[in-house]
Amino acid sequence: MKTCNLCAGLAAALLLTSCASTQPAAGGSELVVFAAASLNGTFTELGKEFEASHAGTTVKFSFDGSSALVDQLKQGAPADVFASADRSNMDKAVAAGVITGAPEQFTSNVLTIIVPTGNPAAITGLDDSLTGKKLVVCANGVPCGSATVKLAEALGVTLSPVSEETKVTDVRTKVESGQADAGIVYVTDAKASADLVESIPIQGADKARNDYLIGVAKDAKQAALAAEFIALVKGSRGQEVLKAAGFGE
Amino acid sequence: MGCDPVSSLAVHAAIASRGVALDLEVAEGSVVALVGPNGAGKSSLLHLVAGLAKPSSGEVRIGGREASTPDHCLPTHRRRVALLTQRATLFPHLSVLENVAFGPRAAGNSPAAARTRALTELEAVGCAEFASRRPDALSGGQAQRVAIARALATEPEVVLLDEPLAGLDVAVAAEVRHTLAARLRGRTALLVTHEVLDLWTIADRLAVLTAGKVVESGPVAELLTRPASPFLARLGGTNLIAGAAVGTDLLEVSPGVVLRGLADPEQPLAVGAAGLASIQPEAISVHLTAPGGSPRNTLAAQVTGIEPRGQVVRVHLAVAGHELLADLTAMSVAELDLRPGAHVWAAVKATQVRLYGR
Amino acid sequence: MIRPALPRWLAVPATAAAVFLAVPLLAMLVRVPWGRVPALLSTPAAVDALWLSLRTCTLTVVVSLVLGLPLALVLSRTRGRWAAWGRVLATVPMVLPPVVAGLALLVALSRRSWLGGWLASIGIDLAFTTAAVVIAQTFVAMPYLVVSVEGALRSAHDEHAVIAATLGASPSVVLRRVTLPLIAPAVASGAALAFARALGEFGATLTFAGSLQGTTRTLPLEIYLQRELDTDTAIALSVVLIAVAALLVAITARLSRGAIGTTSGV
Repeated sequence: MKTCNLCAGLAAALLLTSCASTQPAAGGSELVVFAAASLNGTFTELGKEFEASHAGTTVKFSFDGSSALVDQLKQGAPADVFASADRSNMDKAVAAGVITGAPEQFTSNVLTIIVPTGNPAAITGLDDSLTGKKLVVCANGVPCGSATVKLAEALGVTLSPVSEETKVTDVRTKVESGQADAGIVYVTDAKASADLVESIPIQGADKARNDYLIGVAKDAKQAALAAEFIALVKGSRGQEVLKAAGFGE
Repeated sequence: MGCDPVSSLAVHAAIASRGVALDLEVAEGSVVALVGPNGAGKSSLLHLVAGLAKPSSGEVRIGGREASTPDHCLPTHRRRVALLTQRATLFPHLSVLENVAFGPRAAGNSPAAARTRALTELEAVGCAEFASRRPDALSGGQAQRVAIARALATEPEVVLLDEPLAGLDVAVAAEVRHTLAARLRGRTALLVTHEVLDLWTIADRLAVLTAGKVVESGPVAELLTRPASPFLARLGGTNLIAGAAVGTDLLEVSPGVVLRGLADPEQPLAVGAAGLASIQPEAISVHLTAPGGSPRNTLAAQVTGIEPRGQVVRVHLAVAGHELLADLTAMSVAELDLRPGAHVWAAVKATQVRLYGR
Repeated sequence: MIRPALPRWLAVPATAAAVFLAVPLLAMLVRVPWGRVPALLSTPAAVDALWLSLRTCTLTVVVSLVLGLPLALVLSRTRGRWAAWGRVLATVPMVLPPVVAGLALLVALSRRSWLGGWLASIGIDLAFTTAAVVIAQTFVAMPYLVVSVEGALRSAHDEHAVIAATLGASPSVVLRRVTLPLIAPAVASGAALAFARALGEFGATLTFAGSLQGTTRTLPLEIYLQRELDTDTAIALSVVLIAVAALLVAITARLSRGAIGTTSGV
C-alpha cells in the first residue's frame, strides 16, 4: 500500500515537470536565442525584424548573465544561438562543447562613468575626483566588473568602490536614484538609462574593451535559421542597431 | 449613612454599564459570604474592591481610605487586597516557596525575609513539605492551599474569594474548606459561594445579591434558620411558603389551604399579617391516596421533577401554587412509581412546620 | 484517545507534496562537490560573507527584541481599531517581496529623501554601510518576532498578571517577574525565526545597502555573485545556508513544543 502511494506521488511529480516544456507555435518554426542581458534592447528589435522577414518564424529570447547562460547550455537547455558579453564566457562555452564551429565577434562595448543628473559630486573622469565619493561598480568576475578592473589597472588608477554589484542593472539603479555619486557601466547601459543619468566618458576606455561573440549552439534545432540570424546581426542592419545603442565595432 | 469607623470595607458604588448598584459595609475581621443567582453582581462587587472595575458613581473605601471613585481609582497593586479564584493560578515558572514569597518580595522585603515569611504561611496551611516543588507537581487541593498561603503572605486588608472550592472534588474541598476557615478567622473577607456548607463553616455574615443590588444582609445563622426569601430557604436546604396568618399557629398559603404548625416564639405570627412556613424536605411524606386521620397537614400535590441525589431522591412537588422539595428514599420512589405529572398527596406533621411572622 | 482515521487517498497528494519540497533540496545535496567544500568555504570572500551574516543577523535579533517586544506587549493589551491597524502594520513587511521592502527603505532613507537628507546633514550616512544591512534585515525580520510573541501573550497570561497585581506587584514588576518568564519560549522561537529570516534576507539588502565584501556582502549576496563566477562555490555556500536554516527551524519547533507545556499551568 505504502509503495503504491510513493509511486503515485513520484508519477505526479514527473507529470508536473514534463508539463513545463513548451511547444513551438503550431505550423511555424521557433528560433531560440540565448543572449547576454546587455543585448536586450538591440536583439529584441532585431528579432522582430527577423520575424517580419521570415514568415512563420518566431524568435524566442532568453536574456541573462553570460555565465548563467553558459551554465544552462551545459545542462542541456535547448538553444540555437548564443551571444556572449565577453570572450572568456564564450571560451568556456566552446570548451564545454556546446558551440558548433567557431564563434564570431560581432560588436564590442566599452566602459563609461555615469553620474546622477546634475553631477552633484562633480566627477570629471576616472581620476582623483572619485576620491572619497560613493563609487559603485560591477563585481570582479562579472564581465563588466572584469573590464573595470582591467581598465583601472591599464590607466593606473586605484578605485575604492562602496559597492560591487553582481548585475549591471543594480549599478545603474543606484546611480539613477542618487544613492551613488558615480557608477562604471557600459556605454550601452548609460544609453539605456537615458535622461536619468549623465555620462562622463573615460579617456582610454578602449584599453578594456569587451568583445561580444556569437555562435551557433551544438544541438540547435534550427541551425539554418540560426546562421541567418547571425548574418543579420553581423550585417549592416544589425550593426546599425547596435551602434545606435552605443556598442562599438 | 456615615462611614462607620469600625468598617474595614465600605462599598457604596454603581457600575452603570453592568447594571449594578451596590451598598455593603463590612466590619473588620468579618467574613461576609456573597450569594445570589448568576449575574446578580457578585463578581462586580469583587472587581470594585480589587480595583479591577471602576465605579461610574459612588465610592469604595478600604480601611477607611478612599480607594475607588469615578475620577480616581487606586491601582490594584497599591491596594492591600488579595484575590483567590477557582483556579489556583500559581506561577508555573516559580517553585511553591517562590510563589508564596512573591508578594513579600514585591513589597520590597529581602529575599531571605520573604522566604521566611513564605515558610510560615506554608506551614499554616500544611504545605511546607512542598516548598521546593513546582506547581505542576501539586494536586488541585494542594495548589489551592498554596494559593491561600500566597494570598495571606502579603498581609492583605481584605481577602476576596470567588468560589475557591468550586474546582475541587468533594473530599478535597472539605479539607481545603477547613484550612480556609482556620486561616480566615479574624480577617476581613468577601466570599462568593453557592455552597451552604461554606456559609456555616467559613462565613460570619451573609449578603444576598439579586439583579445588581444587595437585598439582604445579616448573620448567617439568623438568615438561614429563619429565611425570609425562597432563595435563602433553598440555599439553607429548607422549603419556604409564604402566606397570611389566620391564627397563631395557622397559615393560609392559598385560598382554602391552611397549614398548621408550631409558631416561632421569637417571630410570632400576627393574625391577618403576612407569615412564612418553613418545612424541611425530609419532613414531607408522599402518598398515592389521601392519608386519613390525625391532625396532620395533607395537601394535594403534583410531581414536577425527580432528582436523584445518591441514596436520597429529591422530589419536586407543586403544592397549592408553591414549589416544595421532598426527600424520599429511592425505594419509596420506585414503589410509588413516582414520575413527573403524577398526582399525589403530601403530608407533614404540624410539629415539623415552623411558622413565623414576616 | 483513539484517533479517527484519515481517508486513504490523502496519502497521494501528501506524498507528492513531500517529494516536491524534498527534491530540490536533495538535488542540491547531491550536486555539492563535497571534496572541494572545505577549500571553497575557506576563501576570504566566503569567510567574510559568513562572518558578516552572523554579525548582522545577531544585531538584527537584538534590535528586534529591543523594539519588537514592547510593540508586541502594547499590541496585545490594546483593543479596537488602533490594535487592528497596529497588527497590520507589524505584519506587512512579512508578506512584502523583499525587493519592494528594499525600495521602500530606499525611498525613505536614501540621500535624496527628506529623512535621509536630514540624517546626512547631521553626519549619519547610512548608504552602503553595515548599518544599512542591519536596518534592511530588521525591517523584514522583526515582524516574525512580534507576531510570535503577541500570539503567546494573547493566549491567557492575563490571569497571572491580575493575581500578581493583587499580590502587590507594580506593572513593571509583573512584566519582569511574571509575563516575560512565561512568554520566554515564544520569545526564543520568535527570535530564532527572525534570525532565520534575516539570514536569508537578500532583496532589501541588495537594493538598499549594496554589495561589498566584508561590509555589506552577506551570505546570500555572496551566493548571488558566485552564481556568475563559480557555480560550485555558490552551491557550497547555499548548502551552508540550508543547514543553518534547517537548524533554526528545528530549534523553533522544539521551543514551541516546550511552550505548550508551560501554558497549561495550574
